[in-house]
Amino acid sequence: MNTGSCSRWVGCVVSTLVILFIASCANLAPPPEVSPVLISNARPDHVDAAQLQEGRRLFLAHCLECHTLPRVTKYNREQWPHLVSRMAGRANLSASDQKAITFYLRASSSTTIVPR
Amino acid sequence: MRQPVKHTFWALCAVLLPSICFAGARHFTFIYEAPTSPPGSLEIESYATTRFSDGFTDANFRHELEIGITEHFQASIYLANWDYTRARENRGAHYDSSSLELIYNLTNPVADPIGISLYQEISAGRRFLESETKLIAQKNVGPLILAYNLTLEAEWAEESLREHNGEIQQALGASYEVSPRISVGAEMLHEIILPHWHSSEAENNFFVGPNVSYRGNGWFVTVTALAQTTGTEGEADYQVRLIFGVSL
Repeated sequence: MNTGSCSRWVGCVVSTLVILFIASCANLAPPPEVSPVLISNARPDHVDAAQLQEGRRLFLAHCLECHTLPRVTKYNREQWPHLVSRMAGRANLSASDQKAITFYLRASSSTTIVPR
Repeated sequence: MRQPVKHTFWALCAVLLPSICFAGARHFTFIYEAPTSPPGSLEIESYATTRFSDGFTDANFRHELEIGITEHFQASIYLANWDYTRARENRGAHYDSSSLELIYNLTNPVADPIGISLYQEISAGRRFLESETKLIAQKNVGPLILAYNLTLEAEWAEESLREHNGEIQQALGASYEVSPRISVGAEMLHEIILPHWHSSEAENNFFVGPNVSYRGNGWFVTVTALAQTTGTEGEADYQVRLIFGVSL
């Protein structure tokens, strides 16, 4: 490969990276911390703050192994259990891990308080 | 069938056929990512790397059993590292070595400012010993994964392991998840080869190229094609690496 085509290659790769980086910054925020809003959203599932914290920790640790983390608001309360269940085997989640991740995602899928 | 296509086809068959069942998806093939396998998980990953310089020159194969030990620690055993070469004086398949690899994850690429893992691999074969130490850094920005590896390799070979060589390698990659199943990106590789550990004989090689990854249910496949941009004699002009993985 000559120097001219090499520079063009590297230039293309760098420009693409910059565009993708800027586009991806829209999703920069990490999964939300456990907050009074999340605790309130989790009440229908009878889940406390410690369980939500554990769900967040497991979500961050296990789901990254295969894919990037989606925005938690991308799916709603009803969609998350099915999605987590579908991938639980592959992520080697125990039944309690699966429940904890599902409860955290159900609670954080809405940033506003869920009506009881 | 044209020679390079035919050799790539047979190389792919050699990797895919023994892997009847197989997870933890890889987005890159020349670059390691910071997250480790979940505790208790078991995966098989097979690697095939084919090299071309005026046609097919050789292919390298590795068969890895990956075990998640704790939430931050994984171990892998490379049962056999072997190659097939076309060179007239050494044509055929040859066993090279077997390896043990350990990875410890320190920080998370989403929750922390940067995800860091430490990597150590020891390979041993007939008249061959190699140590590979890596610093793995990664940052996830939404669907974009940025990863960087700094590697130090030391190799002892021949009788009484008297020949010793070193290599410093930097690798940078980006992978964008266009859908939950498909990622596309690019990888760049900069190698500084130090024959006999003499910096005066150092050789610089630079490779760049695209990658693509597909994740199925319990399996994945990732392919990268790199082209050499430095024109070093004796180094491959092109190399293609495929990794196929399945959860057990």
